This record gives sequence, structure tokens and C-alpha cells, in this order.
Amino acid sequence: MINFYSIQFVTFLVIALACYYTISKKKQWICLLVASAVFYYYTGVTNFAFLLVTGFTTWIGAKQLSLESQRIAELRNDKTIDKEEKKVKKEVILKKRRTIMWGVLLVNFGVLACLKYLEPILKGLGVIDDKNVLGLLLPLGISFYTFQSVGYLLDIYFEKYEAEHNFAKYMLFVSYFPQMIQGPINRYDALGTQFKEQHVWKDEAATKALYRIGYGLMKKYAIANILAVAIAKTFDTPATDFSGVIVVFAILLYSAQQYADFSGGIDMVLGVSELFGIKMAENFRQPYFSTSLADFWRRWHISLGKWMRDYVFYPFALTKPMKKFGKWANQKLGKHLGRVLPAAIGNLVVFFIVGIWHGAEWHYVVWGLYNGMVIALSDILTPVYEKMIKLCHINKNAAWYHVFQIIRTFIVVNIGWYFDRITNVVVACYSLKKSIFKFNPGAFSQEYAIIFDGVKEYAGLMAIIGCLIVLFVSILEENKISVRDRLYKSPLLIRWGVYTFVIVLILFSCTRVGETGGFMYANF
Amino acid sequence: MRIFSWIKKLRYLLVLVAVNMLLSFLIEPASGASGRMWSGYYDEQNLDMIFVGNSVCQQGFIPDIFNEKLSVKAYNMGTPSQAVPQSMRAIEVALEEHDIKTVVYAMGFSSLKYEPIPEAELTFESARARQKGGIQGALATLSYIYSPDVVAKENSVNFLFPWLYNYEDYFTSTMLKNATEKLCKWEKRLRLGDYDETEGLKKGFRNDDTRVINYDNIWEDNSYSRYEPYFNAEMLADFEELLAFCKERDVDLIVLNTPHPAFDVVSCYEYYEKNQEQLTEICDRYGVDYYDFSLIKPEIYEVQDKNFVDYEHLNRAGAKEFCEKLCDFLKLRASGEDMSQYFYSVEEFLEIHEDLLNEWKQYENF
Repeated sequence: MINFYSIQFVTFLVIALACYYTISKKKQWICLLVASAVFYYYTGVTNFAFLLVTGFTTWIGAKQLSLESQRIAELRNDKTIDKEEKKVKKEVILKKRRTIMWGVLLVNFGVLACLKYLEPILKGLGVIDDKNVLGLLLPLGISFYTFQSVGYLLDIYFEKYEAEHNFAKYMLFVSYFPQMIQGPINRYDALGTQFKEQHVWKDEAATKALYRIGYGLMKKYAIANILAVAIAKTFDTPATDFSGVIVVFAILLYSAQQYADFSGGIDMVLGVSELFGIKMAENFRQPYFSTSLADFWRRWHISLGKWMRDYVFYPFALTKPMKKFGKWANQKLGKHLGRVLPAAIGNLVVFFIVGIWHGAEWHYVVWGLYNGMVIALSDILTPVYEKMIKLCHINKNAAWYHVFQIIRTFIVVNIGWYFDRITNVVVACYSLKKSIFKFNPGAFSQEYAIIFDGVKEYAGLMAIIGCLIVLFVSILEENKISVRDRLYKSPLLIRWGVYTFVIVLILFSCTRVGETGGFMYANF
Repeated sequence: MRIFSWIKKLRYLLVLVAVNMLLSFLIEPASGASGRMWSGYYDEQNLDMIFVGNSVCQQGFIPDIFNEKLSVKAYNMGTPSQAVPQSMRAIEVALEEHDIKTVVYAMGFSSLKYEPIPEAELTFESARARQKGGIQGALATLSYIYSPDVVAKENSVNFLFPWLYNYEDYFTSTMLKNATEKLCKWEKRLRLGDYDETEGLKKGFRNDDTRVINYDNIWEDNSYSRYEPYFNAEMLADFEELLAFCKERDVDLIVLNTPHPAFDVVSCYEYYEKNQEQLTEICDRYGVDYYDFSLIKPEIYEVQDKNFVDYEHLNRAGAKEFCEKLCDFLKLRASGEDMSQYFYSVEEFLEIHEDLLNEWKQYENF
């Protein structure tokens, strides 16, 4: 894979941009398609085959679905046949549509499941003993482009918009290179249409795009990569039994690393895309300022959350059994439970899938279910909270209450990170127990030295500076102040000072750690 | 006019280049080891023998002695922390530019035990590109940043910012020292060619250390305490690649474990033989001669503690004596004699140094 932080990527980007803005405006999408093909080809030829299978099956499937929809419309307007016959014919077409939809889903999720889960499952069953024995390597971004393509297919199935007739144009939507590393999961009606527009170079937009790329690089190298070393020392060395205080500290570092890595990567890809005048879906909105776990999931990995809501949660909630259950609960358990219980079950299903999506390991399942359960319980118990707030005369609009909600949510999220980061559920539970009952704050300085042993000089300082910058920017963004706009409008010397500071910080941080691999979400 | 508009847009790039140059000027040492080595190398012509390896090579081989005694034209391409890939790179460059007949890969077991230090690699390559200068230097830069190990990775960018990896420290005093030295053009004076009168600095060889071993801490500071017992798999693979590379080019390669004081060999008694066997087996496979000068018999060269600065580096006098004896050894080798007879086996060596071994065991148990 071409690393964004490499001369080769810079060269590739400059060439792609030069071609994009100098060729005929009507052919810009072709330039992007070629660039995407080159970028993806570099990850391996076989990966290309998987991408083509997904692209072709969803494109042809959607096209067929569109044709069948057209047939239903024609049938509706056909005055030559009677109502009964229309009903029978419509039923046949609807059945055909369902078959197509399920067939395409089966192929795509089947490929994804085979590549992602077959080996761990066989290993779990004891059929194979080495994880890579089948040699099934995940093609770059397969989860992301599969979800994106399936989203398109389902949108056509639900007749949200017209199917794309040009396969090449559709392939650009599937393979657009900035999104291939770790998403976001884009929607065709938002992204696909932009490819058809004509884009001209705009200095301001390009400068702001570069700000975003720089900010993403800073998050990735000054925070995520540096913290990764200490976190790995804490959780990947089972022989060392660290005190609760260092476990809690490492989990806090992990929350910073996870955010900096994922959102930093997203900032980079969104910035790169903005250079081409294409705006992709936002994936983060200051998640650590959330006031509830449900709010957190509306701010963290937003594109996956929306995908799950539109293609799993709602269709599941609208199934006949769930509707029936809702009615039953409404009658027997009251209005509130009748409304929230089906949603709670839906949330559990969604978060179970989110857990599995992260990997075929039990700790991910537990992490997913933990999130689902907290959200479900929070919904179910809403009347109880309301009563308590009333009894305690708490002003829900007070600033302190807002801060309390943020801290409470942060703690709840961090409890979840135990099961995300620690790969063994039993060890995760034990670590959680240690964090409460064996906190031992006196051991901090000694154990801190152990986990940061091997981290080069000044690396810790770089991470602290990086975190403070992210906190500062997040506070401004949360207050609806666009940092990019402010920086762009500031005097030249200040701008150049900021650029130089950030560039030096990135460069310096990068050499403080060795190669730490790519992005955490690149293997999904 | 359009071009001016683009220059205006990209003017910050000029600022960035200026900042990079300023930081490099302040932070890069005025005369780093790699810079000196390459600078001296490009002053040489018609070389036919080179020494490659890390600090044990840089401090252990005096080319002038070989030139005089073997009638060759030798150069020492050793640099501190030089990992196997850089040694191979040095050989590759020398083979391209000279008619090299003999390559001595000077090592200690430690050379194959630690992970390569990325900064050392970048400094080595950057110094080479800079010493070449001009278009050749630019081509050398391009060939490095597009080499398979670097392409599409972070180092392809970092390479262009030498102050990130070639530094002593980031203290203001050091920056002032570097700047002063550079401004006074000391860099030029420190070039090897200008130092003919100094014995400690010549043709890549650099050793002006006259210290001897500190006996107070020989059992605390030795190869046993410093390095892993067994070889690093990645380094071994690189080593094999180096052997294959030389075999392919039909170069007379000599792999040479530089002498270590007896206490250092003894400290590793538990795995020394295994290390030895492993290296011998690999070298045999490629038809390369491998000699361990820690185990040499006194009739060729007597390893004496007074010749060492520490557990693995020779001092200046030690290097001189060692090189003279090595020349005699190479003459014998050239005459077709079986050189293996001049080395003890590990078992024999430990038997001879039984007292030391017991002392070490006692220390270990204590």
C-alpha cells in the first residue's frame, strides 16, 4: 500500500491533480478512475479481482432491480390487464427483486465472510493451527467498499434513486482511492453525483484541504503512533501484571490513540478528496464531547453508524415479527416500553454486527454487545432518570450537568475500550477488576517507566503537544468555530508559523517511533 | 504571468526548504562518521580492497598497513552501527566504482544480534548522496528513496530532512558548536584527505582512542550483558543476502569476527559455540572463509587485553598490531595454507581460559 506519508504518494497526488485540473472538465471522472486503479493496483493484483467482483455484482444487480422496478411501474399503468392478474404479476416481479437482492448480498457478504472469518473460525474449531495457513489476506478496504456497494444496491432496491448505467462511473464510486484505506462509507447519491460535476481548482479550498491533511498527519504521527508503543507494552505483555492505575492510564492512552489514528486517517483522506473538489461523508464529530453513548455513536464512525441505521436497524425494526412484538409490548407493557423495547432489540442486533465487523473474536462481540446493552438500558430507563432529575432538582441545561454528562459518557466509552483493546475477554474482565480494586496509585511512576521504556526521547512530549492541539481544535469545533477558516484568514506570519510548527512536529514525531504499521482500520 | 501566480502560491515551500536547511545546519554534526567515510572514499581512486562493517570495523582496520604490507589499495568503509544492508550497499557502490578484489566483512556476533537502527541507515545513505554531490548526488537520493525497502514508506520523506536522524542531541549548546564548526569551515579541515599527518584518522579508519579496558566492570559490561544470545533472524537473512551478492559477483569475501578480549568470549560460553557453528555453516554454504580472531592461536596473533578499549573495540595501538598480524595471516592464506589450524575450537579456548570461566561462573551465581 502507498503510505500517504511518502514521496511516492505526494508524487502520485501531484500528477493526478495536474491531470485532473488540466484535462477536459467532462473527463475528470476518468482521471480519477485511472488514479484509483493505479492506487489500488499497487496493493496487489489479486485485490483487484475482489474489487471487480463486488463492483460488477452490485452494479448488475442494481441495474436489474431498476429494470424490475420499471416493469412494476409499467404494470401499474397497463390498462389491458385486470387487477388480479396485475397482482399476480407484481408478486412475481417482487419475488424476482428479492431473489436478486439476496443473491447479490450473499455473494458479497459471502466473499467478505470467507476472507475475514473463515480462518479464525477454522482455527477456533481446531481445524487449522496457524492463522495464515490458508493465505487469505484481506484486500485493502474490502469491508468499506463492500458496505458501500451493498448500500447502493439496497438504495436501488428501496427505490431511493435511479441506478447508474455506466459501469465505469459506478466503479469509480466503488474504488475512489482516498476512501480505500479506511472509509468513510459513502453513499452513491452524495458521492456518485459529485463525480459527474465539473470541478475547478480553488486556492482557498485546496489550502483548507491541505490543512486537513496536515492535521490528520499530526494526529497519526504525533499521537497515535507514539502512544501505540506504550499501549502495546501494557496489554501485549501478559507476563507483566501491571497495577490498576497503569491499566486505566493505558486505556486512556488507547482512547486517544484510537481516536487519533482513525480520525487522523479520515482527516487525511477527506483532505485528499477535497483537493479534487469532492466532499466525502464526515466520519467524526468530536466524539469525546458526547453526552450519552448513543450520542457517541452518532459522532464516532458516523458513516458506519448511518449505514447500520439505514440498512440493518430500520429494515429489522420493520420486519413483521418486530412490528408484532412492538404492538404486543405496547398493549401489555405500556406505551414507553412498547416504543423502546423493539428499538432496544434492534440496537443489540446492530451492535452485535458492529462487534463482528471488527473481527471474528469474542472480545469484539462482547464489546459490541456492551455498547448495545448500555444504549438499550439507557432508553428503557429514561423515565427513571427523568424522575431522579426532577427529585434532585437538577437543571438539565446547567453547564455543570453538561460537563457531568460528557465525563460520564467518556467513562462508559472507556469501559468498552477494555474489551476492544484487550484481546482476551477474561483478561479484559480481570483488568477491569484491577482498575477498581487494585488501583495502587503508588506504582504509577515505576510502571510508567516500564511501558515507556524504548520510546525515544521527546516522544512523550510530542504526544502531549499533539493531544493539547487536538483538544484545543475540538473545543473550537464543538463551539461551531471553523479552525480552518480562522487559520486561512489569519495574517501570513501566523499561518506560516503554524504550518512550520505542525510540519516540524509531524516530522520529528515520525522519527521518534519505528515503523508501526498502517492505520488501525486499514485491515477491516 | 501564470507562472508567477503559481510561485506566489507555492512560496511557503521555499520557507520550508529554508527552515530545513537552517535546522540541518544547526543540528547535523559538522563532521559525522558517515560523512567522513564517504568524503574520504570519493577522494580515493583505483581501490582493490575494502573493509565494511560497524564500529569494530571502523576502529579496527588501518588501510595504510594493508597497502604497505600487501601492496593493495585499501579503504575502510566501516561506520558506527552499520547494519548488514548498509555494508552490502557499501560493497555494491565500491564494486560499481572500483575494481575491488577483496572485501573484508568485519563483524562481531553482536552485528547480527541487534535490530538495525533506522537513523544509522538514513545517515549513511544521506552522507553518500551528499558527498557525491550534483546530479550524481540527486540520482543517489532518488535511487535510495525508490529502493524497495523505502519506497512508499515514511523514510522516503524523512530522508530529505537530515536533522531528523543525523544528530548528537537537540541542545542549544550543541547547535552552536555545530554552527561554529561549520562557519569556521572546520568541516573541510576534518576531511580525511587533509589529515594525513594524523594516525588516528586515515582512509576511513578512525580510532584515536588510547584508553584500555576498565577491569572494574568487565563482568557487568560485556557481550553477554549487552546483546541477545542468539542471532536476529532478519539480520541473518540480510547476512545471507550479502554472501550471495558477493558470490554472484565473484568477489573474494572474507568474513572476519574481530578479536575480543578473552573475558568477553568466556562471558558468552553458554551459546558461543552455537553462534560459531551457525555462522560457519552459513559461510560454508556460500563458500566464504570465516575466521574468528577471538579464537586465534598466539603463533599468529596474541589477543591481549591491553589492546582493547572495552569488551569489543580495539584501541589505536591494538588496531595497529592486529592489522600487521592480519596482513601476515592473509599472506599465508594466499599461499594456500589451511588457516583453520591456527584457530582454537571453542572447547579448547574455554579449557585454556578455565580460570576466567570459573571466575565468570562465580560472578554469575553470585
